[in-house]
Amino acid sequence: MIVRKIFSTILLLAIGLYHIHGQHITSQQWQGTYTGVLLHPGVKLEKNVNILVPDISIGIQGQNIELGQYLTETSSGAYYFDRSKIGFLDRKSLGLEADNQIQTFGLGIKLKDFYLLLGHSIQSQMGIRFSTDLLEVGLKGNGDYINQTMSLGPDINVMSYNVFSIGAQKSWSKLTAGVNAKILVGLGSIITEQSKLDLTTRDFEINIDSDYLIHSSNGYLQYNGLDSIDSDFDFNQIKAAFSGNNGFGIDIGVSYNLSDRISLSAGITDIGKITWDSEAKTYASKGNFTYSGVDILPLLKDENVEYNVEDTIRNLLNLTEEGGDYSTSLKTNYILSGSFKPSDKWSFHGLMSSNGGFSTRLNHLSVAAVRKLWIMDIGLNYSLGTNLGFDHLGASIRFNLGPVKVYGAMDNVLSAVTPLKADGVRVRMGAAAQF
Amino acid sequence: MNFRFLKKPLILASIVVALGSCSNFELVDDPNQDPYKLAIPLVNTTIKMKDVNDLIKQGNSSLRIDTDGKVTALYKGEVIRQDADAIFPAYPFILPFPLTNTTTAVALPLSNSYLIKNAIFKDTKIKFGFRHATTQDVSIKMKINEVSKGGQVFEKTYDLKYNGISPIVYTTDEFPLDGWDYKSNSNKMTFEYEAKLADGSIVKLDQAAMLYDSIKFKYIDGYLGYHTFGIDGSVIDVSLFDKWKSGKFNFEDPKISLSVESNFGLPVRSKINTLSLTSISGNTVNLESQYVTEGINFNYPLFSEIGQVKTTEFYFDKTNSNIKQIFNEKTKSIAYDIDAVVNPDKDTLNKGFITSTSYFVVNVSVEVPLHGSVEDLVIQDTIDFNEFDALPKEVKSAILKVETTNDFPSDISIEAIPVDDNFVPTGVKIDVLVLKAGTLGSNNKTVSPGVNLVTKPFTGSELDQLKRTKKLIILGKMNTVGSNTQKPLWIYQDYGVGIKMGMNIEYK
Repeated sequence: MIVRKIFSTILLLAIGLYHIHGQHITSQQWQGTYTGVLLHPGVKLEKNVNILVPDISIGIQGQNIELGQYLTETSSGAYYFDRSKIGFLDRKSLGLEADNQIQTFGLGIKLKDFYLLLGHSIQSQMGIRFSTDLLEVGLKGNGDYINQTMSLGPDINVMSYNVFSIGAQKSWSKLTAGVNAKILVGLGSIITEQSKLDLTTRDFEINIDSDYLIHSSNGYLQYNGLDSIDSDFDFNQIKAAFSGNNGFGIDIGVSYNLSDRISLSAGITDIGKITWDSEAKTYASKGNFTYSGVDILPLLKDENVEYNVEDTIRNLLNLTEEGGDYSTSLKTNYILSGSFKPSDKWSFHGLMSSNGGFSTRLNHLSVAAVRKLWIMDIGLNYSLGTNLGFDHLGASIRFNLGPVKVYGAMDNVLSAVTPLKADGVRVRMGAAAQF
Repeated sequence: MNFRFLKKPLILASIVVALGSCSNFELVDDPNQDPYKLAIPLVNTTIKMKDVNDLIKQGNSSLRIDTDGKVTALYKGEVIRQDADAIFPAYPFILPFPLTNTTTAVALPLSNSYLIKNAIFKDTKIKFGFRHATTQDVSIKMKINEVSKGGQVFEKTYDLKYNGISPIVYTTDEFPLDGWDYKSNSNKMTFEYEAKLADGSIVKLDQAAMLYDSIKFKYIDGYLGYHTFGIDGSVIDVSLFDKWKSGKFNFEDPKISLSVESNFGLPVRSKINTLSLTSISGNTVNLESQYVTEGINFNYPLFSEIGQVKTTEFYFDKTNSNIKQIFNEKTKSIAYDIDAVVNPDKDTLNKGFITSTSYFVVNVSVEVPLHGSVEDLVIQDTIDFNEFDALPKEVKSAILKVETTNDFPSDISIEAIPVDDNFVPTGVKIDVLVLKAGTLGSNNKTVSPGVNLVTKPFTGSELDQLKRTKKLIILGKMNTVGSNTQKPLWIYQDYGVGIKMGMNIEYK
C-alpha cells in the first residue's frame, strides 16, 4: 500500500537516525590531551606531541520518547513493536536532536611557543521532529481517525560533512587561546524548510493540506515516486569527500587558570556554513488537495480514458522536484567549563553547553567527579538536559598506559539496566597519546 | 501488517542501549497482529440524464432532450433513401431510329402513364446518319420541333460531299443536348429535314436515322404516372424492456414516427404493408390505425417551390392507433414494410415535377417520452465480474459505505448476487445501492433529491465468498412515486443519480 510505504519511509528515516555527541563532560575531564581540544581549541594542551586516533562517541537522545516506549516483551524475552501503545499517546511531538563527531585523526604538536593543531573529523548533525499522529496513521492506518486532522509532516534534518582543520593554540602565562579554521566538505544533507502535511479523512474524502519543502543533496533523500522514497544516508560513509558542497567554519576558545587547581574555559565552535551544490534538489508540496474517489463518468463515456488511483494520490500531493543550490549554517555551540583539582587524586569538573540544533538548541549542564586509582581515572558524571527534561547519571574510565591513554564513557548507566526505559544514552571511546 | 521495516532502526537503537548490558535484544513480529485500518474513498460520481447520450456508444438508441428539459427515448430504424432515378431512370437507346420520311415523329421511351410536358435535357447526346445515292454534294437541314433553346428551335445543317463514291454515307458528330428544352403534349420528338442537292433540287434521302446514347433530364414536369416504389422493410430493436423480469410499465404516449423528406414535386402516399410490434415474449401484434389502412399523404414542393425539401412528420400514437396498449406489453421490436405510391389518385391532370437531384428520405423511429409510471418493476442482468480476485489476502474485513442521491421520482434498489461460473451463489449479497425517490414538487417535478446512506460490513468469510465470484446477477427494483395509481411523471434532463462510495479495510 502506497500510504504505508510513505509512512514507513518517513519512520525509517525518523527512527533510524542515531547520533554521536562529542561535546561531552569527559573532554573537560581529560583536558591536557587532544581529547580536551575536541571541546574547543582553547582547552590547554600539555607535552610536546599530542595524537588522537580516533575518538568516537555514539549516542541517541529522544525528546518526549523513550527508546522502548512502543516495545512489549514476550514471554520468551523477545520484543515486538506494540501498536496498541501508540493509542495511549497524547498527540505529542516527538523528536531526536543531536550532533556527532568522529575524530579520525588529531595532532597537536608544539612548535616554539604555540601548538599547531591538525585534524580530520566527520561530523553529523541531525534533528527529527514528528508527531505521534504520524506513528498512529503509519502503523495503525487512518481508519480510526475519521473526521480528524492528523499532522503527518515530519521535520527531518540531516547534515553530514568532512572537516579538515588547521589551527593553533598559544598560552600566555595563565591564559590560553586557540583557534581552528575548518574546510568543510559536505557529504550530504536533508533539510526540511516547511513541514506541514495534514491528513483529514472523512467518510468519502481524503484531504491533504500541505506546505512541505525539503532540500536534499548527494542523494541523501531519494525520491522516485511516493512508493519509492529512500535515503542514502549512511553514518559510516565517507563518500564524495571532495565532490563539492564546500563550506568554511571556525572554532575559537580560551581557558584560564585561576590557580594551579582551578581552571575555567569558554569556547564557541562551528561558526560557518556549507553551500550544498552536489545533486542538490528541492522537493515541494503546497496546496489543499481532496480525493473523493473515482469519477467513473469519464470512464464510461470514453473507454480510452485510463484511471490510476496511485497516480491520483500522487497528484494530490502535487509534488514538485527542482534542482538548485542551498546553504545551511553550522549549528553553533557555546561552551563554558571549569575544573577544580583539590588533590592529585580527585578532580571535579563542570560544563555548560548550548549546542545548535535544527528545531531547538540542546542545553546541557554536566558535572563530574574523577578519582585516580592506580593507572585508571574513574569518574562519575551527572548530566541535565535543561530544555529537554532528561537527567542522566554516567560513568567514565581512562587507562593511562604511559604515553597512551585509552578511555571509555557512558553518560546514562541506568540504560544498561533498563535499556527500554532510556530516553537516551551516549557511549564514547577513544585513544590518545602524548609525549 | 508486517513491521519488519522497523527492525533496522530499532535494532540500531537497541544496540546503543544494550552496550554495556548483557541482555540479548531480539525484535519479533507483533504476535497480536492488530489490524491496520485503512479508510479510502472509492467512487464519487454523478450521472445525469443529459450525460446518457454520451454513454450510448453504439446501437440505434438515444435520448432527445426537449426545450423544457423533458426526456424522450428514441429508437431509430434504418434510414431509407430513394433518388430521382427510382422514378425516372435514364433511358438508353442502343439502335438507330430510322427517319423514314422528311418529317418523322419519334416517341419517347416512356411508360404510357407518363405525359411529359416540359423537360430540360441533361447528359444527352444526339447524332444522325444519312445515306443517299447521288453524284452531287448534299446539304441537309435537320430540325427537332419540340426541342429548343432560348426560343430557337433545334436546327442543324450538315453538308455531305461527293468524293467520287456513290452512295454518299455520312454520320454526324454527337451533339450534346444539355440545357435544351423539351416541350410537347405527346411524349414525342418530331424530326424534320430538308435535303438539297448541289443543283438545288430537294430530295428525300434514301436512308436517314437518329441515335442518342440515353435520354436524361435534369427537370421534367407533367403527369409522371401512377406507380409504387418500395421503401422496403426493416426492424427497429427497442431495448427498453430487455432486462425486464417482472412489474408493470405504463408509458403515457409511445409513438412510432414516420418522417419523410421529399423534394419530388409529386403527390406521394404511404402504403403500409406491415407495421407490427413484437413483445419480449415473442407475441406479435399489428398496429391498428386508420392511417395504416388509408395511408399518409406526404408533403411535396409546389412548382413555385422547386428545389425545396418538404418534410412530413407523422406519428402513430395513442390518439390514432392502439400503440399505447401494445407497446406497454414490453415491446422488443417493431417491424415495418412501407411502400410509397406516386400519384395515388391516378389523376392525370395532376401535374408534377422531378429534378435530377430529387430524393426521398424516410425515417421510421420509435419515440418513448419518458413520461409514465413503473410499478414493482424488477429488471435483471448478469455480468461477468471477477475483479474481487484482486482483493489482497491480507484484508481481514471491510466495511463498505455508500451514499446515494437520487433526483428521480422513483425508489430504486440494486442488488448484486455474486455467483460462480455455474451460477451458484457464493453466499454473500451486495445490496448497498438503495436510492430513495426525490421529493416531488407541485409541478410533479422533484425539487430535492432523495439521500440515503448504507453501510455494509463484510466479514472475512464473506470476503472469501466475494473472491470466488465470477459473475454478478444484478437485480434492480423500481417504483415510481404514485405508481399504484399509475401517476404519470416525467423524467427531466437534470435528473441524476449520485454515488459516493468509501471503504474501511482492515488488514492483518
